[in-house]
Amino acid sequence: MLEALNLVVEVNNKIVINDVSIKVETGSITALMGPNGSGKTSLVYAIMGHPSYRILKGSILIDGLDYTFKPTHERALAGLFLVFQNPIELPGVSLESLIRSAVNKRLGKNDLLEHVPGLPDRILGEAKLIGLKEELVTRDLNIGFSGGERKRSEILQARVLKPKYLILDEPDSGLDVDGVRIIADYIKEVAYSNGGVLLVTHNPTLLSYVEPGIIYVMLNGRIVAEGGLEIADKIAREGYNWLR
Amino acid sequence: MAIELSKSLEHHEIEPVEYRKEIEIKGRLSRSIVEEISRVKKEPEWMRLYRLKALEAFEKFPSPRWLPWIESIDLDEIASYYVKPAASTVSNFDELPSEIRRIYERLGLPETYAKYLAGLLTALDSENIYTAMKDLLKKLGVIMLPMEEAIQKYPDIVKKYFGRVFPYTDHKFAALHHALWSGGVFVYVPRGVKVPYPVEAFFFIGSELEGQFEHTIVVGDEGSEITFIEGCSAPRLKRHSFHDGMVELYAHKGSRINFVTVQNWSRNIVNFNNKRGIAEDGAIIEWVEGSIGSKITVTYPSTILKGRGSKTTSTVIGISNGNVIKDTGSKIIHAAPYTSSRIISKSISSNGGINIYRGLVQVNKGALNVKSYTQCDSLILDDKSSSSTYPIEHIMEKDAEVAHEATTFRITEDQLFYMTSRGLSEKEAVSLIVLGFVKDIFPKLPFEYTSMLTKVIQLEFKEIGGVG
Amino acid sequence: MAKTVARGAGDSPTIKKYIDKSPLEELVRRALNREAPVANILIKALSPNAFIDPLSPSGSIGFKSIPVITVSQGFYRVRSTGGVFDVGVEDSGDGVIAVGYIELILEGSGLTILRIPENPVHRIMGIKVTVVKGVDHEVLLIHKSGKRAVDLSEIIVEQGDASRLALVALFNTGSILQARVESIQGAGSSIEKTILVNSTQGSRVEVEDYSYIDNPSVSVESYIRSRLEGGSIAVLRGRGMASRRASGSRIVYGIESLINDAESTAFMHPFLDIHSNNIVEARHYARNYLLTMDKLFYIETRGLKPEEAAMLLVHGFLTRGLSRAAREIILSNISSS
Repeated sequence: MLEALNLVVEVNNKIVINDVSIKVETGSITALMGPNGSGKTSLVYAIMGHPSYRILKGSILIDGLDYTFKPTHERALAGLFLVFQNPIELPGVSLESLIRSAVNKRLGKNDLLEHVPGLPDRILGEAKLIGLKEELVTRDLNIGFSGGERKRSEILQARVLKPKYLILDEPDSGLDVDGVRIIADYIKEVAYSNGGVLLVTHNPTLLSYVEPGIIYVMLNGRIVAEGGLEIADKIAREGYNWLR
Repeated sequence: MAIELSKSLEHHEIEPVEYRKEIEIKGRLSRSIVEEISRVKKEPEWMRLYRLKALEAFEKFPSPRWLPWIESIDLDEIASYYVKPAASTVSNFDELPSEIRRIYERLGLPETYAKYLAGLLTALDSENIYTAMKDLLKKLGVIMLPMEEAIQKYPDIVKKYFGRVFPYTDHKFAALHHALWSGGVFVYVPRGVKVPYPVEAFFFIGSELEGQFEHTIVVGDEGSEITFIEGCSAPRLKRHSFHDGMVELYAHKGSRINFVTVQNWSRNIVNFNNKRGIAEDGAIIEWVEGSIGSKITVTYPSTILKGRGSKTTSTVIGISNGNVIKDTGSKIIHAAPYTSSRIISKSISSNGGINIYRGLVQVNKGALNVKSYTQCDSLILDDKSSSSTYPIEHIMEKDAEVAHEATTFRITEDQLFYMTSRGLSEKEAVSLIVLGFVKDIFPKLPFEYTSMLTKVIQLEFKEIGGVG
Repeated sequence: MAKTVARGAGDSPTIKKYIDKSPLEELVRRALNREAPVANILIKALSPNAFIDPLSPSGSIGFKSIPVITVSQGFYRVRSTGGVFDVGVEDSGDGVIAVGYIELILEGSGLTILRIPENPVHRIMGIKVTVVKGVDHEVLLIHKSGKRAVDLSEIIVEQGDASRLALVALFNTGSILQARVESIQGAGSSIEKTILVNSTQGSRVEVEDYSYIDNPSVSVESYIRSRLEGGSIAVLRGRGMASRRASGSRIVYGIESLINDAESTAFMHPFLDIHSNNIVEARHYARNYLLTMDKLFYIETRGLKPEEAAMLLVHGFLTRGLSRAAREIILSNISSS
């Protein structure tokens, strides 16, 4: 289980998460909803250990172990993977070399750029499945990629690295209907293989397709509601006003 | 000839500087001439001694090698302007060169205005808005008067700033300037005073402002704001051929000084302008320069960002139409953390014109969190003209966000065809493109400057050869 | 013609001296006066089908910008008629200064690699690359220098009409490096130069890259990228010139530095002289490349430690835009601190 317990988080001297507790069980999908500015992305960044987000109170546990103050990469190696809402550009670093380094890291290799037999083909295969143009795999990451291509490249990385806890921050933004389907299918695949998923989204189609086990709603840095798909329906019909 | 230029205006920057010829200095500037200047102006002792020290430095400094088009300078000739009686350039309108007269007509200037520009009047009619402006400044407590008067009336304040921003020790022409300076304005804006309208100094200080070696100082005390505009975009005939002026700006904490120069002097002048400002904590200095005339213009408005969080921007537009050289740029020294600078330079060369941009952005050690962006674009209109850009970046802190970009443009046949197919003549199309290229400067000028500058640029490119 | 110790033209009058090059001047003086044992370089073919001939220095053969130091050997002509060609350079081992001159003549399409390894001696090296008309070639020059080495390097490129060259020169610098790269283009030719300066041990570096376009339809791209650590100082000058005859040409100059510690300094001067209004593209830029928290965080979320994430970015910064083959070879030749 991936847990955040009574988390209080500040960034730029402002408290953005105010006593939040959520649970992500393996084999299930947890959804997080809320209006813009409610703290959803901050929560996700805090769970991943972004240095700008200071944890003032509370803890983050991965499979029972305390990771509250551990560095980002250790959380990743413990099985977390974040699909970013706005993946950054990395000049000179190709998708292929990033994946290769991450894989070598997990294999305990010293030279992270060492050739991994079978990996290049594996990556190309995944690219095809996901609908990502082959040439983008060797190009500088995200430079000149459309929104949809950036999301696909995130999913491709996840598929190769096989995380235990998949976190997605508004994965549907910038995607067309096919793209959303691919994301949804992958989410279900992860849950089915006994991984845990934390999905931050507004998208009602995506939610109805993946059928999360629990939905949290955040507002002003706090959890204000918890429940099943009926919450998503109510929000789709009435917005967030009933929660204020 | 006060100043002798090379026959060909070509320059080869790629040659190492030490192989180039020095500028030959002919004649002499005697101590007695400098002392005479001081005596005639009835200056206090400290200023006389100051001039003499500057003269000493001038004689000691080596001659510059980085101006390849100037062969020699004749000091006797330059000094003689002080000795000759002050004669007006022309005694009546008809004596003005025909191109200048024609432009004044095309600009539709009222007669008094045109006469003033031509030097036929020494001051504008007193019944106009400039009197109201003068009264407002007086009410706000702003000190603004010719530099020579300021030395007599406010010696303590002037002494505090004169030569502090741009000392005579900087280079040979700075030393020459400090020895011979004459004319210019002194402006002091008191604490917290925000001058609501731009001050168009040309009109109320008048011809005193435009001496050969004028020295202007603008001081903004804490929290003050002022926009100061000198010059005029209509073409001007000048009697001296070498101009070595200086502007020193001092922006105290939290103040803002905008200094705007628009220059369109006749094409026989070598125009040197030493401009520098110092910005303290949270202060802002903005340089705006629109340079159209002169034969050779050399000016690098510079700012030293001494105070934390201070900012500077520099917008320079240079047009070299004809056998003209514009050697301009900006120098920014980031000497404190959290400072930022932005330089926009747009230059146009045509009919054999040469445009050179020299820029320096330096981030000193200890200047953390600096952001600087320079964009320097040039437009070359024909195959006789050229453009060179020599940007220099010195970065001594690893977190400095510094970027310089420069692009050289030309007008493509497709663009011309598109515009002429809409009914414009080729020349009109060119002037429209040129206006679009330099549009960055317009938001920084008051309306009457914008409209005059627009007309001047249009005339420059629609007519053959432009002015003078 | 620039002497080895000339100051750059058009320099700002505010900084008078960028780096102390007196050890370099001393080195040249000693070599000229034979005050220190001067060795010569040796070439070893690391792959077959290389035509290597010794050359004797004469009027037309030899350094262009470096004073001529006579050695009886150490001058070579290497000819490639095509294909991949790997050449190693060593020194004869009996000197304090190694002097060498290699003329590379590219007559067919292919890839030529010149490996100049680290050794304890100082080096004075000249490389001349001649690309025959119509030929397409890629050249990798890999230099490694010992920590105390003082190096003087000259790379001159002459391209025939309609030829294409991708030149990558990697310098893993020692104590001092002065390098001058110059290219002269034939009509319709194109060149992409990438000069990589990898200084991790307190080096003092001055690199100048000159490009002359005096013919129509030429394309020049010149990139200088430096990675500075250990208190290194780099002066990077690019000078591109397009004459009136350069119609239809394009020229792009980019200088970038990655400063990875608190003491290193970068001085970047991308100069451009355009004398033609028929240039299709003329632009240049100078930038400081930052290892921002966002970039590092993104990579760390994939499991890499902060130092590993930084290294991935540094290597990416240095090898950006290179061909696949070049990237692999360069990556395995970047010395780390």
